[in-house]
Amino acid sequence: MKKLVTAGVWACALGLFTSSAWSSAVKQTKGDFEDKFRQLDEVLPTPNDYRNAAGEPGKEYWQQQVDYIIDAKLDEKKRRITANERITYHNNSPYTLKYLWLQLEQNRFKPDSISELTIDFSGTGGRGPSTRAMNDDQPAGISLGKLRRNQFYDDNEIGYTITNVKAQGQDLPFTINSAQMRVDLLKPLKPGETFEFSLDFAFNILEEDAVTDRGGYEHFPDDARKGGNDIFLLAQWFPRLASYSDYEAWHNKEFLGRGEFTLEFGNYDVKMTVPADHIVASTGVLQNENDVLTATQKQRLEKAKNAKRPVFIVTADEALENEKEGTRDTKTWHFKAENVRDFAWASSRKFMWDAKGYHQGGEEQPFVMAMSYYPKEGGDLWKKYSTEAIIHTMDVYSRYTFDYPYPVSISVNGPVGGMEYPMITFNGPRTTWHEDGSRTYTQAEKRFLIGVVIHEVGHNYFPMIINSDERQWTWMDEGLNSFMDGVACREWDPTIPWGVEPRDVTAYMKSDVQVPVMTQSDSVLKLGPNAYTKPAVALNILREVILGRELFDFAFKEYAVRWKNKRPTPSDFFRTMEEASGVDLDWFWRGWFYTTDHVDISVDSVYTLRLDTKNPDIDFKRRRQEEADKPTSLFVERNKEERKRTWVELNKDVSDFYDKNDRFTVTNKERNKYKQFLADLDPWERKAFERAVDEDKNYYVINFSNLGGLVMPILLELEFKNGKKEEMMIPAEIWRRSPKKVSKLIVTDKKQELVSVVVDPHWETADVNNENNHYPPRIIPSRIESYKDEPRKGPVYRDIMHDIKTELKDPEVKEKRK
Amino acid sequence: MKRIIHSICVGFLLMSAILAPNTVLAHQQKEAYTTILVNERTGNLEIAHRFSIHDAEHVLKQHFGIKADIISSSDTQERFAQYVRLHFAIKASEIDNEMALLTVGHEVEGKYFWVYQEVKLPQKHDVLWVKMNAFQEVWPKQTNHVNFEKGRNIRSARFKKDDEWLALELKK
Ligand SMILES: [Zn+2]
Repeated sequence: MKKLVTAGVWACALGLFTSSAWSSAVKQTKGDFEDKFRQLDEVLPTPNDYRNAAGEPGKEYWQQQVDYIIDAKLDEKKRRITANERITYHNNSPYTLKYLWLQLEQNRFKPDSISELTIDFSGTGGRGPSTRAMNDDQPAGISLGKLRRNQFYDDNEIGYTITNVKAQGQDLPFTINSAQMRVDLLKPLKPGETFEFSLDFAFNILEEDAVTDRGGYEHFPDDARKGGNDIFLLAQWFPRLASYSDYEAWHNKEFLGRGEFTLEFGNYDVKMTVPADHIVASTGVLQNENDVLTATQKQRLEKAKNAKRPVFIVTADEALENEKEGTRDTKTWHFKAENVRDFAWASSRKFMWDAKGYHQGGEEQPFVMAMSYYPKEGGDLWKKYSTEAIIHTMDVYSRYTFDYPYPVSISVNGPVGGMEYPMITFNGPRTTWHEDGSRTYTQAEKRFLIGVVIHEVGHNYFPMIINSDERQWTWMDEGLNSFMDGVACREWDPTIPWGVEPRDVTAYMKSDVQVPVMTQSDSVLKLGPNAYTKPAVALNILREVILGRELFDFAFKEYAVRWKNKRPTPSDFFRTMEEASGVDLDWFWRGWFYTTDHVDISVDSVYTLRLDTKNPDIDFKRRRQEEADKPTSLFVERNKEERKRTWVELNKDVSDFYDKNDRFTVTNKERNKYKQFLADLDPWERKAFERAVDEDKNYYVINFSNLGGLVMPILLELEFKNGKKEEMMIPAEIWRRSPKKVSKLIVTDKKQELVSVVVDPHWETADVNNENNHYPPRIIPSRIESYKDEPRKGPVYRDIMHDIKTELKDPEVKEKRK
Repeated sequence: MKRIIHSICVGFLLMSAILAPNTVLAHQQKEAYTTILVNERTGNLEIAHRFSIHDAEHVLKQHFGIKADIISSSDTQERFAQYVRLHFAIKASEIDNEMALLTVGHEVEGKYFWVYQEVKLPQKHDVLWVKMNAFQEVWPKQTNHVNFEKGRNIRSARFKKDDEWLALELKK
């Protein structure tokens, strides 16, 4: 099928752009009215018994279960994994299956994978090293990194070797298509049935720095041990069952290296045989402490359970000593994990290891052991903050979702910048080595470590437990998790500028190079702002501006609890947030997730109105005053300046009635009319009228334009003559019948005279242009103008830890002469 | 996904990945933002580059050596300005020379490091040719986003590694 695709595809692509295949069935075919509040019903999938209209798992909700028993050996010298894998597939679906699909992610790097075949020579070249196409100025180029990658490929066999695919002693037919494998069942697997099969697999571990994956080995050539040492991070390391769901059936869209994955939940029983001097960190609970840990290590682990600060199970000195030599002996570590959707591990003789118990309380998992594993290169940065950050993450996230359900939570320092798996995360930040042999880190690196650990540990919730599918919808885990990590980071130290602020995304949102958030991961033009920043900002705004914390937090928690250990889709999220908050949010999802509109609301003008009393003796006087307040004609003004005398002034003896009575003179004709008006009013009308006249309030009409297209609430700051300020929020629904221009009437007490209006005074809505947010209009200096006005001295991003060692020197004295 | 229109689109999406393969880790990718602002008030073309401090620090570390520190040493600040000058350029047309940009200064604001440059606004400035490859020799994955703005008229480009000059033309 993959090979047939090419020819028909371009026709399809063209068709998509010329006809509007994606537009809705209901169309505005006259005028240019756009219903920004149109309900999403025709966009979202029809609710059914598997996922209902509330965004909840439906009454017939099901998901598959896959259990694994794996026996793996790490050959350190060859950097190779060989393993036997036994898989039990539980068909909980109402459908009969004739074949099973497996994911073979290690094959992604094979030269015949879609991922490899589709690396654009002059593009960014997939993950990792880069090439440059020929252009007028330069010959085609290839970077050293790309050469290293190619050489690595030349020297190493890439991908899985799979043998012995068997069920009950019988060979199973299987077909491998690049990074996927179909296993044909001997007889169809009926609903409710279970199928067991086994296979052997092996692969050469990739060098992460050469290939850039989400795992691999990192080599440390400078270690004291001859030949150096490695850190091995094993992820996507075994053939795994592809997901089979109610909404997509087999999730066999091949891994292209970006949109990560979703998997089935299941139980894992894994043994890894590694060099005897290695320390293994892994998803799951260690089953054979007595075989692999020393008595001291076990004691220290016991102590760590109730320690105030992390306790070293393997100290820095011990790790340093350990990495000086190797061994030919091996040890087998045995771990078990229940109800997880993946399994990853790390192994090295370089690891120091610290641990601290987290007494979470609650029924499900009252105790969690938080642990960190890192080489000396991680050093002091890790000792202080990694394990503490793990615990902080669980503490905060659990409040907004559910108790952390696993017995351990781990952070490992290796070659991967940041990646998450159930119970275990890989995080990259390190210290900097100096020539004097010391290691320090800057404040930025410290923040980065804490931020990355919080983010990756946070991924336990999204998507490891709330099992959304990153292959299709990266934002569902990255966006929600970036939103939550912002919450957790600010609870760590609010003075540190992290998390996302609405202003962070304006430069992206106003640009003309973007796609809607609801775009499949592999096609997103710019994954960073699209799948992380924009949805995180959107949720922040939903919480702080639109719903308020109480409604938002309730709904968000409801989503988390509903989909814990289940498989949500975007519509389940949209529906739950709406259903649990009780607020129509279709306009919000439509604007922020389905379009590329941005926020730009301007205040165009303000009119002042005053209620007429209808009493001519009052109103005519006011009119006269209004007339007098108008500027006089420039012509007349100039004549006066020239001291020109008018005919009237020169001929005062000639005058008549109209010289004494201007056009605002009241006669009884008007007075009678007024009396009649009062007499004709019904009693309730008269009462209302008299009261309004009596109160004589100020009436202001404020005119707004929506220039960015995205409808949002209008946040207003009103300033009055008496210096008082008042804030108000006009709900987004004001735009429902007129999405481009609206007017708002504001009534204030007589004494509250409006002098200025500001839209979004606290920059809460990601409004991309502040220049048009003020009335009376105000010149907002550009960034550079205000910088020139008052050069700001930035706070510190200094490696103070290093600088503080600077020796005090006498100043250089420069000779000065007149 | 299983309806016909969708499965065709999957084919389309696969193909579009050929056009723009990109990469990301499980944490956010590196990128910088540059605004080229037509400021008719001051008669200048104002350029503001926004870098993540953490990223800037790492690039400096690799580019200038481990002791480089953009904040504490004015010497390094000069070199950073120079670094930006070397990696960012604009010109009026394909055949014109690069404009000589003045370094206005730089500052830390929250998690960002800003670098400012400016040049007198050219008479004709509807089209600009832009080049921006800061950080990309260190991180091939770095994306540099450039907005060319005149009021609400905005044109953007995202510079990937090995992008050379890109022309940005304001809407007429
Ligand atoms: Zn992430």
